[in-house]
Amino acid sequence: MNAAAEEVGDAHIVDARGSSCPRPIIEIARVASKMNSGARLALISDDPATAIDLPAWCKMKGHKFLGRTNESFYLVELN
Amino acid sequence: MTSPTHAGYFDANSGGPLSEAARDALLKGIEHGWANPGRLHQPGRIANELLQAARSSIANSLGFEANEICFVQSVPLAFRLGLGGLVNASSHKVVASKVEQSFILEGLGTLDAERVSLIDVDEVGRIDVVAFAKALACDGVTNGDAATNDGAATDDGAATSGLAIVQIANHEVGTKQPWEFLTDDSLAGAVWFADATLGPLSWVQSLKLPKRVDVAVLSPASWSGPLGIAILAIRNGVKFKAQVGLGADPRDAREIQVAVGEPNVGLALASAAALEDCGRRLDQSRDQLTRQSELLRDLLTKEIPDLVLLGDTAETGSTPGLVAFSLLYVHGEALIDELSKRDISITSGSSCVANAVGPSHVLVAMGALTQGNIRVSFNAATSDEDLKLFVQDLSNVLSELRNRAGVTSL
Repeated sequence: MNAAAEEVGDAHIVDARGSSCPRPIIEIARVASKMNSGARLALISDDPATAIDLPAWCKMKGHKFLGRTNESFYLVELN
Repeated sequence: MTSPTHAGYFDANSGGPLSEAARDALLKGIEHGWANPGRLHQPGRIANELLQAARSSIANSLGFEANEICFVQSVPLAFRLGLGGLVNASSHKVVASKVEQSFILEGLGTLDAERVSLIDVDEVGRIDVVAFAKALACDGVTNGDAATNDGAATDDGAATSGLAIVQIANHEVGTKQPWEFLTDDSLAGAVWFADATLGPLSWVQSLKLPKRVDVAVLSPASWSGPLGIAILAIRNGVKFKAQVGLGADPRDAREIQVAVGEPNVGLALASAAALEDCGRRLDQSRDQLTRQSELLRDLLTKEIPDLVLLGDTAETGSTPGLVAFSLLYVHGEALIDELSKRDISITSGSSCVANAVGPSHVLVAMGALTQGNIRVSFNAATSDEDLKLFVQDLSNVLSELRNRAGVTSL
């Protein structure tokens, strides 16, 4: 987890492990609604649908999907 | 027992109420074609005559010869027989897209990985034809069999001879595939196995399938015919070698029919009558459903927040009567349950509905939102009012679900 944590840097971590679709996207959307533009969020999710749904959510909401740093770590920059 | 309602029925593509013509034909089959059509006694001969009439009618409608039409008991079986017969007949490369039906992809999974290329699609689910043609042209598997291919390959060896599996339009999102690329001269030798199960409105101007199609799977339910029957059409001369049953090694549609058994005569007659009926109304249905699909998309976009339309939404690229979309922050199964309470029947490719492992492979290949996925398919029996009521009910159900989950203002 160390390497991933370093890459995550100053991002706010949203840990949604153990929850399945659509929960992980709801979790990150809740946190995102309280944060400013430009903030970075790291979503940790082991739900296979997240790999598809997170980029799709970013596109719908105008956020920037920065990528998947490992199996369950995703980075997003808010608009 | 109560009859299911039609007004809120939006799963027309996977089966619906029979057209009147199909119902009459089914009854005729039950009354006159009750004997085994394979027998030589008089009742058997009568059943066989009716069956051959159904076969000729369907062949004529679709632009095939009667002896090229094989009736089988289900769409998955038709796909398995078709794919098996084609891959057994040669050792050539097989190219398919990532959004084919799961029966196809499962079958391809059993072949040597080197023999199979799965081609990507874009965000509306349209096949990358350049990559497809390239993969087909690079027919890496060449043993002695390649030289004796009796397909349309030219003598100079430059033409491809692989197997191209291309759906006419996508079954989940309705996107029409740009299959015209297969008519390119350089791909003339390839065999085209077409998934035509989305029905006549997903292909061009008439009931007839493109001449270029070598083998096709069709579903009578897609033209308001019955369930429990499917069509495997195999053009004469196509290399085909199915392994059906013990010792059987059928090489054409007629022999496949013998191996899998004759169909229920009533179902065959109903399929033929429904297809003729569909042909008579084709222009009218296409115009109506094209307009209604547009109306539905407009209503959805205006009335429902956090919704994304899926597939090609342009008139030229979409199948009339099929509209797919996904909704943020909702569970597909909860949505289906709630709508079902309001007598609305829809289907979904969300992971919680499709299977336990993951979301629909079509949505994954497109990179489309998989949560709260809904597929609406309807036919000419659906009115504008039905569609408006559907959107209203959907809007109410969604507000309820999203309020309950506290996600309305996200």
